[in-house]
Amino acid sequence: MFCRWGWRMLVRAFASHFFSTITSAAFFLFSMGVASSAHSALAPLSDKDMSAVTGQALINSDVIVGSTTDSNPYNNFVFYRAGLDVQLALNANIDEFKLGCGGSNDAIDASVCDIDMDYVRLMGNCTGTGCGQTSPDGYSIPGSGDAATSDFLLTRPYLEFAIKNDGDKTLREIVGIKVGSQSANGYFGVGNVNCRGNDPNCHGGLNAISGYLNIELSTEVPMTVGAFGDTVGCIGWVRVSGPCDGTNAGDAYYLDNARTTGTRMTYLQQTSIPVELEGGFVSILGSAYANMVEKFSFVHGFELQNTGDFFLSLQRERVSYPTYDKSGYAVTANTGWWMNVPDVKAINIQTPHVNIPCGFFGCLGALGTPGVVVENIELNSSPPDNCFGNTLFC
Amino acid sequence: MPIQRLSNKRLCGALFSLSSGILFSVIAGASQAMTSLDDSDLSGISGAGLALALDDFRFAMAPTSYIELTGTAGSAGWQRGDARYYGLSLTGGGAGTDWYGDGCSGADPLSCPMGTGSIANFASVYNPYVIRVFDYEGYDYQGALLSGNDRPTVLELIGPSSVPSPWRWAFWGEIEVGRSATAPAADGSNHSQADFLQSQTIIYGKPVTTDGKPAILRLLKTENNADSTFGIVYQSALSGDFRFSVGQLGNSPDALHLVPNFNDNEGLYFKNVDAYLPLGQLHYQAITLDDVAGAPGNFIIELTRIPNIPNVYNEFYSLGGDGLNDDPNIGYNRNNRPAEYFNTHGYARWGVQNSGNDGGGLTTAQKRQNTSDGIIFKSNSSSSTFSAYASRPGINLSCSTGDTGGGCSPGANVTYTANNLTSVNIGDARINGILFNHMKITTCSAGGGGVC
Repeated sequence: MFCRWGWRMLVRAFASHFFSTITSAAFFLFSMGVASSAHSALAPLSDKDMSAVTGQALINSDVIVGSTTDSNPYNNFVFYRAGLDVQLALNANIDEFKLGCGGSNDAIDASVCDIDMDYVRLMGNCTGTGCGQTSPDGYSIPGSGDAATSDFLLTRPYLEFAIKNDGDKTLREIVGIKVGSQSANGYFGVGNVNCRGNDPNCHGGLNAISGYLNIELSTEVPMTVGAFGDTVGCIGWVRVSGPCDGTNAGDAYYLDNARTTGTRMTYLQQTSIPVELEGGFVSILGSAYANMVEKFSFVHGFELQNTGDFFLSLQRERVSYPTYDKSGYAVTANTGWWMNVPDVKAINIQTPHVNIPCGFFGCLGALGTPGVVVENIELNSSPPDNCFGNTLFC
Repeated sequence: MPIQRLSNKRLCGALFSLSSGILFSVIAGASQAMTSLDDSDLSGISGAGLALALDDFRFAMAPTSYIELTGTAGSAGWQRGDARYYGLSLTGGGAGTDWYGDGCSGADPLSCPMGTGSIANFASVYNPYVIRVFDYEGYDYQGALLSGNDRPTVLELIGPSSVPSPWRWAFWGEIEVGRSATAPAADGSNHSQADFLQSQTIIYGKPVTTDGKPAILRLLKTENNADSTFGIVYQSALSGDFRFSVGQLGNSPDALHLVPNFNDNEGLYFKNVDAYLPLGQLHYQAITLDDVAGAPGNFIIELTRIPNIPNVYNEFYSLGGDGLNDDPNIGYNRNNRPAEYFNTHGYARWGVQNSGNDGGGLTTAQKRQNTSDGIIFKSNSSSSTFSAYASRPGINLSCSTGDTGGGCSPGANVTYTANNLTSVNIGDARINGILFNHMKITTCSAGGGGVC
């Protein structure tokens, strides 16, 4: 009985592997023959035996007909989903992750790829307040799971095909493919840290990204504001003890999506970020504004918490893919590769002291929009370790 | 309900031809004059293995023959999914035919799913498939070096490391959405009456990487003292071109289970693909199979996790140097990596870097219109056009920390639109240095109680 079960499992695994990994049919057929000769106690299954076999159907599917009546011209496709009714647990490292290098989007920036990352880690996350790894130089990596033993979880991963003119066989065309899942839970780490400071060369990894990033930002920035002296700038809802604890409590601050959506983005710039001033003479002014200019390479990861709309796609033209629950559409993807990240937590960032060398009138300018420029602030972000031993990347 | 049903009746109609037969030989005799072996000879073999040479090889299922992945009722917002693969074929290059019976010139190998001829050197006598048992030295799961008489024996099938000419591997497929178990759509139901997507997949390539790594399948007993079981180690290797398409011609039935007549041009193309994926390592990582406790009918396919044992992970990481654990940053150094690194780490590349669609001296329009390298979308015909578009937010890097005022606001978005395209090249892609510490696939729905 065990041999029969084992043989069925073997065939099942071989068949699944074969059709999913694109190799040679002869390879498959001959390997079946080899395997059968490796067991002496196997008994053939009759058709009757086969008909009694019950088990797992691997394929799920769905079809979503895009709207032809709403104001979005980029969802007028038919979307076919083909999913695996499985949970995929994965822990892996990738030395270079570069998608969409050259080609049409060189019109935006020929020096990078659509998705351009080095030293990527796919691993698990952690649960609990304040959990996560600590970098070798002592900075927390909130939400990151254990090195090499935690898993990035994809529940019911699927492919979604965006089809144009589905109702007309002669005009039917494939427009794009999306790789998504019912939910994604884990930690996506990237890059390396060479040093700390404002020098962009201190950080590597996230060279460019194309997609939509919904970023919650909260930082605690000790600073000297020209002649006004020292204070602490609080952006967003900082959930760790310190001068900003309690400021903006419960009021998460998200960056403007228009500033975090696009193709081959290497920098983030957002103006008019509200900054609450805590402590020091200047705090009597209450609040000011920041004009944040930050290279993406200062960011070394993000946590996904059971999100249904983390996906990677490639398309020839603009496409608004349906959300997983089919209640709406994701932010429209541009031509090329695209990563949709519905929730990035860049929170509780406690930066080193920042000196803002503004003169009296310049400092007053910080009280209004677009605010005072804060360029390449050291976020103290670090990539998580995902190797055994002391090696930080492997 | 069977999970994967092989249609015996329809397979009877499949054509399986080995134009000049299969030549077996013991490896030891491969360098001498080769002679055929009869069954009696074969039964007496107890040596190193078998060489399997396949000249003028061709395999073609009838276009109506299929392999089916049968669905069950959907859950969690999904509908039932049934997938069928029709007309699986391995054929030569050059002129040929499609499944509908139309001839095609073969000027573009990806316009034509089947060549009329065979594959001259599918696995030549100088580079055959090899089936053998072999003893390999290596670390086991516990970190012990198994050498000498302790070397475990594995059964392995090694593919050719050199294939002179690429060949075609193709099938057409059908995904049926929401099939009713009690009242399934009938053969020939048209596209407006049943939800299905028919597609065509063509590969024109070789089962070997561009640098000669072959595909290898190994069957073994895992060397994990706490969980010794049946294991598989698979090294996937592939190079060539790939096309996936959905467009059809006017005389195509566009109906469930009926052979379509696909458009010869439309689709998504991957040119100059080169991929190598090592799934498992001797003797400390393997693909294993298991059931799911408390969830009858569900099963697990797992690429076992690397153990936290220095002998094992140092071998697996293969980052070089004797003081591996003394240099935390050694993994970031891409220079002078040991040769073993490239055995334990996989890669997948689509397009040749700095060539064709991303080479120096080319205009953006030339890169966009390149159809020979990288990833390309093509429309049905010259009258079917589309627009490529991308943009990113503007950035103003002229100011420094402390500056204020409107002069420091970001500039306009960087945007382009390319209209009236019949094809677009979206560039190369490469994923290098893939290291699987662990991978586990657990099925969800059978019998309830699963992980999902």
